[in-house]
Amino acid sequence: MNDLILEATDTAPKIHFQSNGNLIMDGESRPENVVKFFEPLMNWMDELKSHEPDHITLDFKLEYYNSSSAKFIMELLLKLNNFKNVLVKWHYDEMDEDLLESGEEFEKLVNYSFEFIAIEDED
Amino acid sequence: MFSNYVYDTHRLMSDKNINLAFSGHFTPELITSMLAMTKSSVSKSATLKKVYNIIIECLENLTKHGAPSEEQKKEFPSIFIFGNDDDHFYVSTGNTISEEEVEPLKAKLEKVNSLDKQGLRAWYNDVIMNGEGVSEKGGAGLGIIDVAMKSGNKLEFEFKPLRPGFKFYVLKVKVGIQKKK
Repeated sequence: MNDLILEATDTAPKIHFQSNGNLIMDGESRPENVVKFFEPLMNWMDELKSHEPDHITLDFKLEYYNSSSAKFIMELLLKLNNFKNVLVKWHYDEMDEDLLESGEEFEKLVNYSFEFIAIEDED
Repeated sequence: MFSNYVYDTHRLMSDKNINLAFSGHFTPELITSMLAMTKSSVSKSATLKKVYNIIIECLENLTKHGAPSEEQKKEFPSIFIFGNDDDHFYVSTGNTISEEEVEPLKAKLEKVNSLDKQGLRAWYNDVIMNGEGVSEKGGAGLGIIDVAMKSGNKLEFEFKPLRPGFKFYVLKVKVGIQKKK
C-alpha cells in the first residue's frame, strides 16, 4: 500500500503515515472542513490494519488541535487499539501543561502506553 | 461628530483594556490573520498558549454560529474582543442566535459552570468517546467544555434581546495570568 503524505498548511498539520507502521502528525490542526481532512486518514488506517504491520509508532507532534479535531484524534487512537506493539510518542512544550494533560487523558482511554516527551523551550 | 466617535472608541478601548476588537462576519481566513497577530508572543508563556487555544475555539464558534443564513451575514455581525489587565486576559464574543437555540445553550453553559475541573474532564471524555459525530458545521460539542477547562474560571454569559426571534449571545472567558517565577 502507499504511504500517506500531506504537507502542512496554515490550518492543517503535516501527515507522514508510512505503511511500515511509522506515523507522524506535526503542526496545528484546525482544518476548515475537519471531516474532509480526517476521513482519508481514517480510511488509510483501516487499510493499514489489513496489512498487519508488526508495530505502530505514532509521533504525535501537534502543538495545537481544535475541539473538532480532538474527536478525530480520539477515533484514530481508538483504531490503534487493534494493532500490535503500539507506542504513541506524545511531544509537548514543557510549559504546555494543558497539552500534557490531554495526552494523559487520551492514554487512559486506550489499551496501550504513551511516552511523554517534553520539548524544552528555546528561550 | 466623526472625531468624537473615534475619540470615544479610543477611550472605551483604553478604559476597558481592549487590545484587539473586530466586528463583522468571521471567516476562516480572518481567523488565520487574527491568530497571526497574537501568535508572535504565544510561545513565550504558558498563559499565552492557553489564551491562544481559547481564542481559536471562540473564533471558530463565531464562524459556525455567527450568521443564521448567507443573507443575514450583513444584518447580524458578530463581535470579538480581546483584552487584558494586570491579572487576567479576557476573550469575549457576541453573536446572534435564534430564540430556539437559547435554552439548550443556556443549559449547557450552566452545566459547565456547575462542574469543577474533574467534572468537566469526565464530561469531555464522555462526549469524545460516546457523543455524536462531528456536525455539518464542524462542531463536536466539545468546544465550550474545553474552553472552560483551559480557562479555569466560570464562564460569563448573557442573552440580550435583539429583535423578535433572535438573541445576542455574549460570552466572556477569563484566564488568570501566571506570574513569572
